[in-house]
Amino acid sequence: MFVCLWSPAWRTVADSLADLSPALLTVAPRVVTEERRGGLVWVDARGLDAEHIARSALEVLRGLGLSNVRVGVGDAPIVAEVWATAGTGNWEQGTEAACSSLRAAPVPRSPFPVPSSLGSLPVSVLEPDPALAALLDGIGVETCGELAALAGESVEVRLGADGVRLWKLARGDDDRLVFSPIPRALPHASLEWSDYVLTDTERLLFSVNALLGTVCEKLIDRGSLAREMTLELRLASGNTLTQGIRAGRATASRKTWLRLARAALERMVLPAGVVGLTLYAAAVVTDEGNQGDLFDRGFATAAATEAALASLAEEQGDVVVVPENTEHPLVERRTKWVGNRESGTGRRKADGGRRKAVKPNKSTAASGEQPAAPVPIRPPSAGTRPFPVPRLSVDSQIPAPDSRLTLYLLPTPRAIEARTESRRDHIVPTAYRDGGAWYGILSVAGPDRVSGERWGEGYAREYFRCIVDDGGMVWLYRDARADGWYIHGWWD
Amino acid sequence: MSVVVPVLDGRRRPRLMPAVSIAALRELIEQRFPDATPANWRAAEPVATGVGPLDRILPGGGLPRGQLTVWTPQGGACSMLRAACRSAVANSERAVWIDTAGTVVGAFWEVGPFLVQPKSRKDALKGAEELLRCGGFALVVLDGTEPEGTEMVRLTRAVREGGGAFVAITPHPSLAKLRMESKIIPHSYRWTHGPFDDPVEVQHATIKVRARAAGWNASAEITVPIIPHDVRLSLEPGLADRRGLPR
Repeated sequence: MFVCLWSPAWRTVADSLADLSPALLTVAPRVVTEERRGGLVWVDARGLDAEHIARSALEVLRGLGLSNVRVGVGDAPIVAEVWATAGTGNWEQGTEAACSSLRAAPVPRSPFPVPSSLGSLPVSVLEPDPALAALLDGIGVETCGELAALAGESVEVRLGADGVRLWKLARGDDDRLVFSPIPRALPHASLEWSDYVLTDTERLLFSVNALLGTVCEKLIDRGSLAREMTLELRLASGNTLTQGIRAGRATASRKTWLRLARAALERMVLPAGVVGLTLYAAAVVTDEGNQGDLFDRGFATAAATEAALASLAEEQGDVVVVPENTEHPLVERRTKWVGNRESGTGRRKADGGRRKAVKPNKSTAASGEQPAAPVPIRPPSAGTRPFPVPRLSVDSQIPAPDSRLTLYLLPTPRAIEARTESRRDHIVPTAYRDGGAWYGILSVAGPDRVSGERWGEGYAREYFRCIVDDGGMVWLYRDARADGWYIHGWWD
Repeated sequence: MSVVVPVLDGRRRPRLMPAVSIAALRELIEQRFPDATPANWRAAEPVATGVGPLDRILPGGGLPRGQLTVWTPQGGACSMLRAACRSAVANSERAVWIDTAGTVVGAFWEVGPFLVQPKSRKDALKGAEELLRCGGFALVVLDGTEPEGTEMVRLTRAVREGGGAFVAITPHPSLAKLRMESKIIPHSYRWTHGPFDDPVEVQHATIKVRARAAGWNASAEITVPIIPHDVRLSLEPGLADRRGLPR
């Protein structure tokens, strides 16, 4: 049963209807306010004694100084709403009789249970569209009972979709969700102590470990993985310190969360001793296994690989990288390393690969439950996992490897001393000293001159590829602006 | 498991050991002392490098799984190991290259293997241990970090647990099951020459690779091409920019 409360004096008495909710929650488990019709207050009495709740609600409101309140009770929201807002006998003094008379009962010539008391009310209480109201007036339908008695096909043909909607309301067929489904509470655990305070990280971690055991066990029981947890530390000073802990990939592993909690606690500076801890999963996803692929040779180890890469990302940041190359003339400025979210594919996802986990919303409904529960989240799929490792096809498209000597660069060019000789119109190095040792150069190719950015940090370099007497090939250059020699890289 | 060991009978003559007992003894030794087994005892299919001459000198035909291989830096080590990484990916396995020093040039990095660039030596070692232990990588190459002492022990245990092949590019061969050395032969470079007979472009070079393990010593000479550096501002492809420098 739905209980609807309405008063023509709502706005003059209370600043907001939401202010009434805490008081009404003492008589019913759920209360919802609505702005329509000048303000409606819904009280959930489904499965409860609706008449008792209605009377108790009126008493509570009377205690708040609200006496001119109408109440409507019905199996369908529309019945309760109409009787609260437009009913005739539903005043405070007639509550009991009104509640009894509003029970749904069959209407003659109708196969559906229609509230008989609604039948005598005019159609206008259902707030029809003006055009539709004119049509109804034209065919002589004046009351809800007359509208409800019509055949559905006729209503659909003559009045259209809006007419059918109104016809359903007249029959007490109201399928709107006044009260949203009660979400499941997120796994949480808390611990308090009063005889002492904790400031030591290790001792706090000991308590957090115990809480993690409970939370992770609940996560596993409900088949969920947590992407984010929140740790609330109640301080001896009365304040609460809140610390979010986020994992690189959704997991219910106690070991992983303990590692992350340790890292978070070690970074925290506690302004006072801790006298209580609360830990709850702030964002969860459904743990649904991935469909196996017979042709993916790496399927068996994909999860372990993802976990290892995610662990690296959690501890060290974006260290799994792919190059983004530009056309810059200087090879050391040509590449920007970016985090590899589509590992191994060489592409980076546009959204960075991280899916935003849906966090619990603060609902307008005062349900009296805590903590807020999650909105259902899509299960992780291959395209949204933090580190989706590539499928390892049996017929790989990677070309057959061959060994090649490739250039490697020093992080920054290192200054060297060079001996040179003239070769036609330029000079070439014949030996260089690096780290105290001289290296003879057997053959040299170059110079390859690169210059630019005279408007900024200009450069002008002459590069030489040199075969050193120990067999290596190094990349030297002469800085033509500063007239110095540098070793920039080598082939290996 | 019962193991039959040779014993002396009353006449002080050793009894002959059945073949099955030898196999059992080898199994026991391999189980109890995994580091004491010869490199060519193939517990699992090794990771082929994809370089034919190199695979032929490696015990078992590739880099051993679950074992530590040490390769002396430079002298063509990276070229061989990057080929091995690509070979692992081509064979539908995963490979990762840990570039601690940040020496890999982005323009020359090929799609396929994972590339990890840790920010410190400690991060590199922790990352290597994690990746080795996860068991998802057929080949892990650690470049730019030289593990020492207990660090090497930890990595050795991790690779044994994970079951992949692990190659550390370091001059310190301690605990290594397989030791590799390579050196580019100085006079093996082949150049194309310009109109003034100057060296212009190096074509290829020959690398001498040596593989050593307990009871194993083999070497090969491998000729490899050389990727030229990509000169920008060129007037034509392959022609370097020679403008702009005042003489």
